Amino acid sequence: MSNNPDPNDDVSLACESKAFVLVAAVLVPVISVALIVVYGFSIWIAQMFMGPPGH
Amino acid sequence: MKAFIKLMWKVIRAPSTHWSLGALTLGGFIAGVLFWGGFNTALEVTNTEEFCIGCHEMADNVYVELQETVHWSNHSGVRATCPDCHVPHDWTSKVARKMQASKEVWGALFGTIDTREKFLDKRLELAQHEWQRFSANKSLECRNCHDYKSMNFDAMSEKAQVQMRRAAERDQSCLDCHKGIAHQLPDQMEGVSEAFAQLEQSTAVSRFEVGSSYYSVRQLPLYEDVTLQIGAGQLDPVTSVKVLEVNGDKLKVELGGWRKTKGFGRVVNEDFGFNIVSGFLTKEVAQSDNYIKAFETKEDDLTGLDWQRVSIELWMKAQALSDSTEPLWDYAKETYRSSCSVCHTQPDENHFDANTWPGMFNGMQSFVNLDGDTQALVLKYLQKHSSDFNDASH
Repeated sequence: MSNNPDPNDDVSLACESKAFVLVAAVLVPVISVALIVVYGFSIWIAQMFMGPPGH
Repeated sequence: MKAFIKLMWKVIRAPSTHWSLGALTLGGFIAGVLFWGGFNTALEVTNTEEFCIGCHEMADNVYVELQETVHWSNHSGVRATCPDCHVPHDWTSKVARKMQASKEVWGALFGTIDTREKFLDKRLELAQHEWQRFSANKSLECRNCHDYKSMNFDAMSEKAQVQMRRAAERDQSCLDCHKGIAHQLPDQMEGVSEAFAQLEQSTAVSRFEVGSSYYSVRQLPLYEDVTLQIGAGQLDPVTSVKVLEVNGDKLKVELGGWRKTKGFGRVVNEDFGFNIVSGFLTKEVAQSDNYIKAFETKEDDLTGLDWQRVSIELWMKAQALSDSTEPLWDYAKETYRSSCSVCHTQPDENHFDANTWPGMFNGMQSFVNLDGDTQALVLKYLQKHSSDFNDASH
């Protein structure tokens, strides 16, 4: 890799690994949970206007 | 910190230089599996009874009450836990319910129902929320276990068969009838309907006089002696009893009437030849001279049965008695008009005689939803206002 100069060459392996862990273990799970929470609340709010869930 | 975020953002946006596409995909996949597994495990933890009774509000109120019921212990050894009934089982509704639980967290933090008194005060409102939910989804959570299709109606008592077959036909929601099946009912509804409770309150007698007669407002238990330990039978609504003795909140009363001499003579009727029920006695009392004085016997020409005049002395609680029949008849009349007119024009009270009404009335029972007290009261109203007592027409 050192033979091929790259514009991103200043990014170290440790730095990239850290970024991966940050995304996979923190960002995406937090966003997922947040979306599920929003989804749950939206159903609850909808139920306030349209009555409890029927079948 | 700001520099770190900037750096991370730059790295995340750019293609990877050290990690291969395969490694990143595999890493993302594994992270995804771990997340989803973890998420569902956490969700299931909140769906256990241990979690529910983690709050003393649940542990000390509803959880203890459940332990008195068939949903806690029964001959088949299957029991219902909190979430079986109170958390929807399909994912979307379940997640919505979990979010609604934020209200319960709020309540726990600010002590909305942190004492038994506060809980009892709020019980009606809380129960109504659950009843609304069950009513809207036709008691779906009950029916995860109890299915009309799997019910063996023949194994039920006759009375239950009639009700359950009709309910199955209409696909009726279980909670329409079975309120209070797993927890105590709100105080306002315990035992009697709200209208009945009001009636009882409005007719309450402040002081019972020895020698005076009073009328039972609803079905009332009778006892053998002043300790009120051994049941002796039951009074039907609007039955006249004469007070012989007052002992605190207990009364010794005399009940007069006629009974057929056939069988054990447990049913006491108001007058000779009329099947207007005043009450019934236990077998022991009906056959014991200690409680019953028997007088003359007459034969009813119509049926050929012998009737015997009796006078019975028993004990009862000084409650739900009225000194006038008027409020009772008013309530019965109103119920008769409103309940029966839902389907048809109700016949006049004096369209039938006193002995025909029970058959007529019982034949219609399965079409209306009246509790036992109201049924007995309305029937007696019809009998006492039948052609035998009111011959304005016919």
